[in-house]
Amino acid sequence: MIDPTTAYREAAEWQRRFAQAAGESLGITDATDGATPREAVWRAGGATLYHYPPAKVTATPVLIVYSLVNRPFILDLTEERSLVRALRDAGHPVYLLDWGDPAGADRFLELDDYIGDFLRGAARRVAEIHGAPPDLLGVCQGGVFSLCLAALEPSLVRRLITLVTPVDFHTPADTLGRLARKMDFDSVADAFGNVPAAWLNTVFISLKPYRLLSQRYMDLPELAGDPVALADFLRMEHWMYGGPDQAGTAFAQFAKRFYQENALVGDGVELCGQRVTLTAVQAPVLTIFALNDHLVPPAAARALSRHIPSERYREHAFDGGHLGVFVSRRARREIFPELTAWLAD
Amino acid sequence: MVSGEHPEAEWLAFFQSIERQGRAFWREAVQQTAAAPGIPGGNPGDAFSELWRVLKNRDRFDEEMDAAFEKMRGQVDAAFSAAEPTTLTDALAVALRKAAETGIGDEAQLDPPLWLAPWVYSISHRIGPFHEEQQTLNELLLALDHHQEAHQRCAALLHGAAREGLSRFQTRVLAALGGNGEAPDTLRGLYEMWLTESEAVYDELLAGDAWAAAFADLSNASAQLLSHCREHVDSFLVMLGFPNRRDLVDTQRRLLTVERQQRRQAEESNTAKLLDEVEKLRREVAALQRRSGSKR
Repeated sequence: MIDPTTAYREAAEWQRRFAQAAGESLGITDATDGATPREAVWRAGGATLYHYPPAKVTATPVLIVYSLVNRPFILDLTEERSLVRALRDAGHPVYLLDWGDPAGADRFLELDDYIGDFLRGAARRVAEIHGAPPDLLGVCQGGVFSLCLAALEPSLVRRLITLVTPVDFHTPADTLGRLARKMDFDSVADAFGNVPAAWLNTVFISLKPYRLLSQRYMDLPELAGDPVALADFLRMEHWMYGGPDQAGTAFAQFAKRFYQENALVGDGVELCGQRVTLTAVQAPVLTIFALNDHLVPPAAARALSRHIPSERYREHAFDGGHLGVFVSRRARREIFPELTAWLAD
Repeated sequence: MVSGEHPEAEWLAFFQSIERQGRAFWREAVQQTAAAPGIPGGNPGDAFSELWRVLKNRDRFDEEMDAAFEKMRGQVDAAFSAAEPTTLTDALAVALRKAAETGIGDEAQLDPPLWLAPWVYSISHRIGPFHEEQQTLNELLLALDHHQEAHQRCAALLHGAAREGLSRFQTRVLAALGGNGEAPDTLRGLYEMWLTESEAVYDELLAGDAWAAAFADLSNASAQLLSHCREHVDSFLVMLGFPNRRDLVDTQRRLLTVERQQRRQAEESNTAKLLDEVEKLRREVAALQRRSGSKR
């Protein structure tokens, strides 16, 4: 059992290192848009299409579609932990659609605007630049949007990768889906206009409060004296709690059509005047899901296999959590090479 | 006494001499990690240090252990009691009820006579020049009641889970001390044990329908309360001709509609240009093919 003298020393050491880490963090900036140089090539509304040019183009263009929740710099956190850089270094001209921050009037933006105008517009621009449709890489909610575009306009998508993307929102282990089912999202959107990131953060924190609000900071002293790890930690904090607000109407539409009605695996989703179903997707699809994902359970992502013919469908199970798929060291070894190899196939 | 002659006495003396610093450390540590400074009933850090003190005192182990865990439970109770929506929402409720009972627009601002009161209270939101404002106020009061009930239901579930987590933590500590299971040999180990047990209980709560219903109800009640508050305030701003939310939202809606139209027209125009260009290129290719054919 605990030896009191050792315990006092442990406590004192914890406090000393906590103070040290806190002091060191003062000299570290957490502001980042990503580690890889890029240029804006197209804008629509608040959305911006960024281009990360490779030294030499040897592969197909890839358009990354991130979620509306949180910011996409997580895909380019540091030079060492960058999915964007891995694709670029493999010779892909990489494009990233950054949805930006909704302004006041953007509360009325709809899914039709996001998918039918912004995403479709970005894919068209990339197709115009390269003379061929891009590969789409959708992350989480961005994967849902990518699937919708691939079904709406198949000629705009060469190949499609969905990373930790929910397809069936009513699987048994889907805690977020169960919480969302009885919520009145129209009231939320009406009350807030644009739904504040802080409100959404509360929901996400409520899924893992002990880890996120307690253990994460109890571990902080371990980073004292390691400025690189401390900078990564601060950037992750910035990423977790510095997300954009959500355009109220689109937020409510997404929550109702996908989380409540589960329309993607049902009768289809009403988008841009059409009923979009997964059977309309023509592109080959690679689905990557995480076995310990508390936001998108494996079954929620793997449901896609029931809607895409097996000759065009492949999946990869990653032994980790939701974020681990694109920020962990193992992702660099395991996922990034898999992506580039599949795109080159 | 020569140093080292009575190691236990020395050890105890040392322990007593630094106990105050140890307790101060836990208070500081927990406050710094933003656990819950200022919670009535003491700081959770005190509870951990108390438990730790008991763990070394084998003489009165059982009763002290119970007392230590009881203190932790007391602090959990105090924390949830502090989190109840007492001050702000209660004050708001009292003020609104008073306004509702008095009746907006009642020039005399006097309670009606007793024989008239039920009639006034039950129908004042249906008749009179200010009945719409009265109706808005009544809806706001109902939303406030609903929010308080929903908050209490959520808090009760969380409170129960926190207490159950402590109970399982206690069971596991006792089992470890009895030789069943691994006993923590560091404070961090003790903390991890509490975290693991508490989180397991919380996960069970999350997986149940009761929490999903309570969480959704609180979320919906919060949104309704916010909407009714704004509507109530907005009705006066509209009446006075001040800038108000209703007008702002209307302007935003029109602005976005115009932006959307412009964006789609530009895209269509761009597509039309591209189609023209493709058509022109096709014609050029056809002309070239014809020329090339005629040369042969």
